[in-house]
Amino acid sequence: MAFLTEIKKVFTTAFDLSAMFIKNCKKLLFMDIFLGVSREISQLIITILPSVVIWLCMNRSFGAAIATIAVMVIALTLLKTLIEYIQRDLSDESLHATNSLYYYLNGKNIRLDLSDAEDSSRIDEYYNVFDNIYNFSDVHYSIFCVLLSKLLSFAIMSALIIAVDLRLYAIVLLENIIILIINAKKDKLDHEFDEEISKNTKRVKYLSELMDDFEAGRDIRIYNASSMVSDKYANELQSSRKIELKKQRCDFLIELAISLLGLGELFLIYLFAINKYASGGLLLASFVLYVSASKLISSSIAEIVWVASILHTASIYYDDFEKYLKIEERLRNTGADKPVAGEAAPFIEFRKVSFRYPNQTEYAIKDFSCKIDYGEHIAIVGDNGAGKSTLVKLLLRLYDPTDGEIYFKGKNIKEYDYDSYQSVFAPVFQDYVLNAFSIRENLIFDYNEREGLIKGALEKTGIYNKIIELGLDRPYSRRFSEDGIELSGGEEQRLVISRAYCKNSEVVVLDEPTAAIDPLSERNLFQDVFDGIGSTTSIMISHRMSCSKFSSRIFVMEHGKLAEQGTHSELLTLDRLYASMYRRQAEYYS
Amino acid sequence: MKKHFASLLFYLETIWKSEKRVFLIIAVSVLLGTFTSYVGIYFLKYLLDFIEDGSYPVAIVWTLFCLAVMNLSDNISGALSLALSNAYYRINTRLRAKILNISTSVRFEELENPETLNNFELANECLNQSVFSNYTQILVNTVSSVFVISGTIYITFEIKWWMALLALTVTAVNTVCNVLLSKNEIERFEEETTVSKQLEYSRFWLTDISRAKEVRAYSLQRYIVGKLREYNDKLFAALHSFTIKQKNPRLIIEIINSVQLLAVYAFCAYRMVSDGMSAGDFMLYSSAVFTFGDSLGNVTKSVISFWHTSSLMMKLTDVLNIEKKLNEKIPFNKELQTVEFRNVSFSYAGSDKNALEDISFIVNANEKISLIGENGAGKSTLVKLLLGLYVPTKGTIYINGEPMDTDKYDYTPMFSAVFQDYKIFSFTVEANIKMNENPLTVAETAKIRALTSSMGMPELDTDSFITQIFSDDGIDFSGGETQKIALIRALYKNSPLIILDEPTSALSPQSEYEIYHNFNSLTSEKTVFFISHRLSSCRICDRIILLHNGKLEAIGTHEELLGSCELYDRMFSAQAELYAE
Repeated sequence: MAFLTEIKKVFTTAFDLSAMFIKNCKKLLFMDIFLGVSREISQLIITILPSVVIWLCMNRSFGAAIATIAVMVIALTLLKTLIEYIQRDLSDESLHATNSLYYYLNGKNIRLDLSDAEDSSRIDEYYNVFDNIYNFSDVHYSIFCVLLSKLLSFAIMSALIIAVDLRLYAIVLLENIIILIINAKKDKLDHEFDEEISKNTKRVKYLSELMDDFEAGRDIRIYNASSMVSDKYANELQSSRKIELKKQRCDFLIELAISLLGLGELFLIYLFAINKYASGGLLLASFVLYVSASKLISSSIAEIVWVASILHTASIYYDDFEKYLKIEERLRNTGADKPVAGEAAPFIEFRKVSFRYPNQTEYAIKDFSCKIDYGEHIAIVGDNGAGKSTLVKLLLRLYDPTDGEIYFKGKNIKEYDYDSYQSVFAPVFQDYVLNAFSIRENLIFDYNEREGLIKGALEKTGIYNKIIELGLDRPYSRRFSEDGIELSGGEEQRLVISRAYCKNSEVVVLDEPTAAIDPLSERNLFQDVFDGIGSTTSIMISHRMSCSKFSSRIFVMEHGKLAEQGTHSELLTLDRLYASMYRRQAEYYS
Repeated sequence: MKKHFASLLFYLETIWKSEKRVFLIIAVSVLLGTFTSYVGIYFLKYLLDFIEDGSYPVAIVWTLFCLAVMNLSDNISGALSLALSNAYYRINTRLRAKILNISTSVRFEELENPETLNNFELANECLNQSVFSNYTQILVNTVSSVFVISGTIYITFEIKWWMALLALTVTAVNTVCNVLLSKNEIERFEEETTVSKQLEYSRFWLTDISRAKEVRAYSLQRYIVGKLREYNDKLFAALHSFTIKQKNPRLIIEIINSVQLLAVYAFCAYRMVSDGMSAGDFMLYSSAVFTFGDSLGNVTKSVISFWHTSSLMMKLTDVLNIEKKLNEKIPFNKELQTVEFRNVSFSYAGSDKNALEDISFIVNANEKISLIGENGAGKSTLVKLLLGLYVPTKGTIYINGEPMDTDKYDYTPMFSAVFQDYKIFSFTVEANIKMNENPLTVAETAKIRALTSSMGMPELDTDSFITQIFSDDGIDFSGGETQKIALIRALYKNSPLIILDEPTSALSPQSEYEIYHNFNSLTSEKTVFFISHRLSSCRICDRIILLHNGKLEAIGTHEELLGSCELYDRMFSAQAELYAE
C-alpha cells in the first residue's frame, strides 16, 4: 500500500511540475520532445549501420551497401546537427526556467510573517528547499526528453528481444524492477543525509563569508583571530566530509550491486544470442545487430529506471518546496479594509498590549496602554531591553500582540489589509541596510510615482547636493561595479531617513536614527522631524535625551511597561526615571 | 606558458607532499583505461570470429571474460575515484582554510580592492571547480590516450596508410573548432559569473533576515521578485548570445565526423566485397579507426582543458603566494611611548581628493584623546592609518619616534578597537572576548568577570553561543549587549593603544553614564582615541583633536578650545543647549 501511495505521489509530482513548466514555457516542451526523438533515431542508425553493411556485403551488393551508407550517414549528420543546436538552446532555456522557480520561493519567504521569517527552524527549512531546487527543476527534461524517447526505443528493443526469446524479456524486466526498488531505497537514505548536512552547510557558509566581510575582516585583524576562524572552518569542512563520506560509501555499494546485476543481464543477452545463432536461428549480420543493440536494450531500460528514480527524488524535494509555499501567512490573511487618509481621533491606541517573542518565557511588553493623537511627535526613551523596538514592531504589525489590541483610526489594525496598513508608516530601523543598486532605487525602490519626492526628501536630510553631485543613478557600493559609491556611516543614515520621507506616509517611525550623525546635522534633523516637515505624526526612539526636548510627548519605558509619560518639563518636575537619565547625560555638558 | 607548467608543478608537488597515493591511483587508472579500450576493440572481432568458426563454448567464455573485465574496471574506477575524492577533499580543506586565513590577514586595504577580492573568490572557485581532480583527469586521459593511439595506429595502418591520415585530418579540424569553442566557453563562463553574482545577490541578500523588517514595512515583495526576474532575463540573454556563436564550429565538427564515418564504412565494405574480409575484421577495423580518432581528440581536448585548468590554478597559487610575504612580518611588541603624525596626507585609491591633508600631532603614552569632527571630516581615515590598515600617501607616522613600517612589522599587538560597525561572531561569548579558543586560565576568568561586571552585565554566561548558527541553544543579544561585548573584547586585549569609535551608540543613557564614569579606571595605562559625536565624551578625555574637511582644525583641552575655536563652540553648544534645564 505504501508503495502504491509512493508511486501515486511520484506521478502527481511529475504531473504538477510538468504542468507548471508547460504553462510557463511551452517552447521547452517542444524542444524536449524533439531532442529526445532525434537522439533516439540517430542512436538507432549508428547501431543498425554496421550490421546492414555487413549483411549487404555478404550478399556481394557493394553498390547497395555504399548507397545505404551514404543515405544513413547524411541522415545522421542532419540529425546530429539539429541535436547540437537544440541541446544548447534547451540548456539555456532550462536554466532560465529553473531560475524562475526562485521567484516563488523567494517571493514566499518575503511574504511570511516576520515571526516565521526569523524562526531558525524555518530558516533551515528555507535553505534546505533553496539548496535542493535543482533536484526537481529539470524534471520536464527527464519526462519529455528522456522518458518519452526511451519508451520509444524500449518498444523497438522489446520487439527485438521477444523475437529472440520471450524468457529473456521476462528476466530483463525483473532485473530492472529490482534496480528500481534499490534506487528508491537509496533516495530515502539520501534525503536523510541531506538533513544532517544542511546544518553543517549553514556553518560552512557563515565562515566562508567572513572572507570578504569588511567589518569582520577588520576585527579579525585587530584581534589576531585569523587562525581561530580558519581552524574552525577546517573543522566544519572535515565534519561535513564525514557525513558525505558515509553517504558516498553507501552510494558506492548500491552502485556496485546494480552494476553486478547489469553484468548478469548483459551476459545473459549474449548467451541467448550465441545459443540462438548456434541453433541456426540467426544470420551473422543479425547477430551483429543484436549484439550491438544489446547495449541499447539494457541502457534504454536503465534510463527509464533512472528517470523513475529522478522523479522519485524530485517528488521528495518538491514536497518540501510545496510545504514551504503553503506556510500560512497569518498576518496577511486577516482584514481587507483600507485605511482612510486624514485626521482621526483617536489616532493610534494600544489597549492592554502584552507581547512575548516566540519561544521566550518573559514578556517583552507587558500590559501596555497608550493613546497617540494625530499630529503628535512622540519620543520613546528607556534602558536597553525595555521594549522600545518591540513596541515599534507591534505598531507596524510585524508581530501581532500576544494579548490586547492595537487600534488605528478606531479600528483594530488586524482589520486592515496588510500592505495598505504598511503604507501608513515610514520606518527607519536601527539596523538599516542599503542595497547594491542605484541610489535612486535605494530611495524609492520600484515605486516610480515617488520620483517627485526625492529632491525634497534629500534636502530635508541635507545630502541633496552631495547625492546629486555623485549621481542618483550610480550604484551604491562597489560590490558589482567600479563605479559604485561608498558613503560614510552618517551619510548612509541620512539616505535611509530620506528613504522614509520618500514614502510620504502619515507616520514616520525612527529607531535610533542619529547614532552616526554629527552634532550640527543631528540638531537640524531632530528639529525637522519634530516640526513635522516629513510627516504629520512621528515616533522616535533615541538614547539621546536631547531629542525628547523637541517632542510633544515622551514615553519612558521600563521592563516592557510604560513607566512615565508627559512633556519634557513635566517629566523633569516629576523627577523620577526620566529626570535621572537626562541629568546623567547633561552632567558632561555643564 | 611557463606559468602554466608552474601550476602543473604545483599540483604535482602538493600531492607528492601530502597524498602520495594519488600517484598510485593515477597509474592504476591509466592501465585500466588502456586495457579496457583494447578489450572493447577486440571483443566483437573475436566473438564474431569464434561463432563463425562454430566454437561456441570459447565464444561464451570470451564473452564472459570481456564483459567481466569491463564491468570490473568500471567498479574499480568507481572505488578509485572515491579514494581520490577523499584525498582531494583533505587537500581542499587545507587550502580553503589557508585561503580564509590569508584573506583575513592580508593588509586591510586589500579588502577594498575589488581585484584582490575577486582573486580570493576565484581561488575558492578554483577549488569548487575541483582543479585537482581536473588535473588528474587530464593526466589519466592523456597518458592512456597515448597508449591507445600507439596500438590503434598500427591497426589503422594495416588497413591503409591514408586511413591514419584521414583520422589525423579529422582530428586537426576538430581541434581548431574545439579551441574556438573553448575560448567561447571561457568568455561565457566569465560573463556568467558576473551576471549570476547579481542574481545570487538578489536571491540571497534581498531576502535575508537582516532586511526582513524593511521588506515588509516598505512592501517590497513586488520589487524583489522584479529584481530576480530582471537578472534572470539578463543572464539568459548573455548566455544565449554565446550559444549562438557556438553553432557554426559545432556544425563543422559534425560534418567532418560524418565524412570520416562514411569513408571508413565505405572502405571496409569495399574490402569485404573485393578481398572477402571477415565480419569480425570489419568490426575490428572500423572500431579501431574510430577509437584512434577519439583518442587523438582526447589528447587535444586534454591540452585545451590543461590550459583552462592551469589558468584557474594560477589564481590559487597567486593567492597562496601571499602567505609567504605575510609570514615574514615581525610582531611589534614594544612599550608605547609616543604616537606622532608628521605632515600626513591620504587619499583613497581612485579618488583625487585628499581625505586627510597635512595632519601633524604628537600623542603621549596614556593620554586620552577625543577625536571629533563632522561627518566626512576624516576621523575614520585617521584611525585606519593609525592602525596601519592603510599607508599614508604623504608624510609619516612615528611610533616611539620610529617611522611606522607596515611591510616589516605587524602592529596589531599594539592596538585594540571597538569600531562603529564592530563585528560580533556567531561563536561563544568567550571566543568573542578572547578571540582564540585556548582554555581559560583562572586569571583570565577573573579578568573577564571583572570586565563584565564593570559593564553592568555580571550574569553573562560566557559559554553560551551567540545566534543559532553553531548551536541550537544560541542566544540572540540586543544591540546594546553586543556593543558591551565588543567593549569587553577591546579592554580584555592587553594592548597599549585602544581606539573607540562611537562605542556607546547603542547603549542606554544609564549604561553610557556608567562607562563614562569608570572610563579612567577602565583605560588606565592605555592610550585612547575616542571618537564620538556626543561631545560629552570630550569631557572625559585629556585632549581634543578636531578635524574639519580632512584638516586639523584644532588640538587642545576642552577649556582651551572652548572660546578659542569657533567650530568647536558651535558644535558643543548645539548639544549642550539641549541639556540646559
